[in-house]
Amino acid sequence: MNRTFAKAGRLSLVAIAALIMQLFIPFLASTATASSPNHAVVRLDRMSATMATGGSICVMPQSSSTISSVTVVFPTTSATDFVVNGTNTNWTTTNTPTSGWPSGAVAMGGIVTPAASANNGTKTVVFTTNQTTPSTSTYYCFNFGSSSTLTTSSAGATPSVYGSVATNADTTGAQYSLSIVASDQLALTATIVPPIFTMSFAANTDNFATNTLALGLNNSTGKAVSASTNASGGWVMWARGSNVGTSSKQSLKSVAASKQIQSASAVNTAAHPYSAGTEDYGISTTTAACTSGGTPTADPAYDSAADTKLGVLADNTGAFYRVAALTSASDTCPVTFKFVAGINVTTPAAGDYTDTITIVGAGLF
Amino acid sequence: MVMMSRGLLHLIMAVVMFATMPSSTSYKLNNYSFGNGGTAGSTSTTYGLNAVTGEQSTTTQTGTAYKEGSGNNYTQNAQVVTLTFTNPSTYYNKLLLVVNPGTNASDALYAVAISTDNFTTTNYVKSDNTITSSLTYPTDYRTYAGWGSASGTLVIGLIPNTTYYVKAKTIQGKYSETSYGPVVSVATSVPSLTVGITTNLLAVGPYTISFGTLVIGASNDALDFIKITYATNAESGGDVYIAGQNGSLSSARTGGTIPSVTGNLSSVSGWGAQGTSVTQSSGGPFSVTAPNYNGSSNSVGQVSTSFNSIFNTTAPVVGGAGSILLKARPTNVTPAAGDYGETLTISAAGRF
Repeated sequence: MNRTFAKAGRLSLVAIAALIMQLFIPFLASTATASSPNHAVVRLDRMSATMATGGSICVMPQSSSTISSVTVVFPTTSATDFVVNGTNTNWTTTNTPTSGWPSGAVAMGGIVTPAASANNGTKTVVFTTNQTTPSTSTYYCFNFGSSSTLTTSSAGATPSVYGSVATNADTTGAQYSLSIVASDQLALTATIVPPIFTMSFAANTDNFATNTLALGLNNSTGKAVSASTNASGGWVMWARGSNVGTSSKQSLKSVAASKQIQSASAVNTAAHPYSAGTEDYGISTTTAACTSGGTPTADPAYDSAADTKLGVLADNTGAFYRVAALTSASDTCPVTFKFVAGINVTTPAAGDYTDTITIVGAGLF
Repeated sequence: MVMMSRGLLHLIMAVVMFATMPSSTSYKLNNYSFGNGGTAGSTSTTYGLNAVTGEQSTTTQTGTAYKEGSGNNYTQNAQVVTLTFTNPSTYYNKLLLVVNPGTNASDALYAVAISTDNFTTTNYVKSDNTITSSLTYPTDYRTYAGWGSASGTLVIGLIPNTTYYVKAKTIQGKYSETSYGPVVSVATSVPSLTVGITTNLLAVGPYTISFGTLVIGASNDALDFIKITYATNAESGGDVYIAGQNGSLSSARTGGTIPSVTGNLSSVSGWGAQGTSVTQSSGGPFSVTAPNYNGSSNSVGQVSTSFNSIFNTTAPVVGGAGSILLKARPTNVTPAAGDYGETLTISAAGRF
């Protein structure tokens, strides 16, 4: 019996305690907090009116909850409205380039391409993401493509419904504004880059190594002629001899000996090696790399990298023949010319053997 | 026979005694209630509660801005507080609240209620200046200093383009709380971003910028420059971006290019952009983005096929403006042509 009465006493105390508690309930902590909204950046690649465009979407969350979805609402305007293509597969996403994002922004983790859904009626596109433990002081961004995704409104249109960017953690989202202008592009022109072609001669005279030609093949020391041009097609050099010779070939001429040393080969045929014991005369050319723009090519009729061949130019009555060329704009391209003479025992002795070759060039604009 | 604890018996006896005491053979209290008894919380450094004299009536003197319990004698009572509620800078997500304490003591506490429908529904401004659906004592009550004194406090986390209504009540100690004071209201603004693009010669598009004839081996300034205007109330400012279609000045006829570079065209060839002449009417500052575009003389930043920020602001700005100069230096092997060109695109965004 005592236990029953004690139980009744405890129950009564509980009831009284409950009554007293009700007096203090209003003072007990009972806080319901509203979540802070995200921050957002929406940048369009094209701000021109009624223009197809892609762009970038960035979210700075206000909680560290995983961002599993980003819902973008584009504005609704009173004039020509934004158009959201309703085919979600058009809304492809990328994480590069990043230069069009706010400073310090990073790529949105787990961004899925294409978007999960797109609806022009609500101007809403939903993107699936998986950004775990985001920082509340960092923008997380991704790009969306421009092919059949979004078309801008008319210029200066006032939204009746502002755009917003929401996430799974903040369904209210951050509102943003866009600026649509009549023209967002400028055409940059340079009316002309002036044409340039120059040739420079290291010297205007070139002598044989010794004043007395030896029997056999003799080469002069060689002098370089350099060409420079900004012609897109490059440049060409041509040359011909000055003495009028037999068969219109260049010749090494002595007035005193009434002698012209000439080659047996025809003009502008492939450079040939010297044949011992014969008289021969012509030029040889070698080339070297330009300071910029490549290395010129010596024409096969005069190319003698080892100084063992020579080619025959025309004389003053003949044509200029190409000796070297380069097919691109280039700067300071050296072509070295050597006089090459071969004498034999029948070559008359004289001290006035001479020849002048004329070298010309042109840029191919 | 009912058994009970000693304590419960005493409690019941006290209740019974209270219920029956106020009468004797020669008098009887016809009406009574608990008055403002006790000493805990009835004083502070600036006020004290003198005495309890009981109430002559259970009715109260009320007005639109006050309520007085008759018969009580207060040394210092909480005074109803008024508020000043403004949107001083076209805020879209916050508003400035200033408490006007009147003659309230410095240790009076104020709680603020807020609503978007003139208190059909009521929320409260929390201690972190966001909005909550319930009011917590004492956490959400603050002194005048706690509410920012004369400078006020920004209530944050608000919805753009919405009228907010606020009112406040005062507590002095635990026994003196006023009703809510008068309601004041103000609206948040809409988020805004306004960008303007012109040149020094053209107020409307299509826009062209010409270099004229380029001098080889030297830095050449374009004959025109781009003018940008920028204004936003975005909380963290924003950026103006620039990109080129090709990343170079290109000649279709020759295939020649002058690539865009970041560098000093006094010594390197190429072309690029330089931001300059930045100003603002208020806020900002509107600045040239470093380090590529804020050079001087012939230093330029690259205009690539990707957008790069050329101007920026870290805060809302009104009347932001800047110019973009373009410079080019061809080499002596840049193919000669009269059709070098590039298409520039300007983009902009606000950090809302």
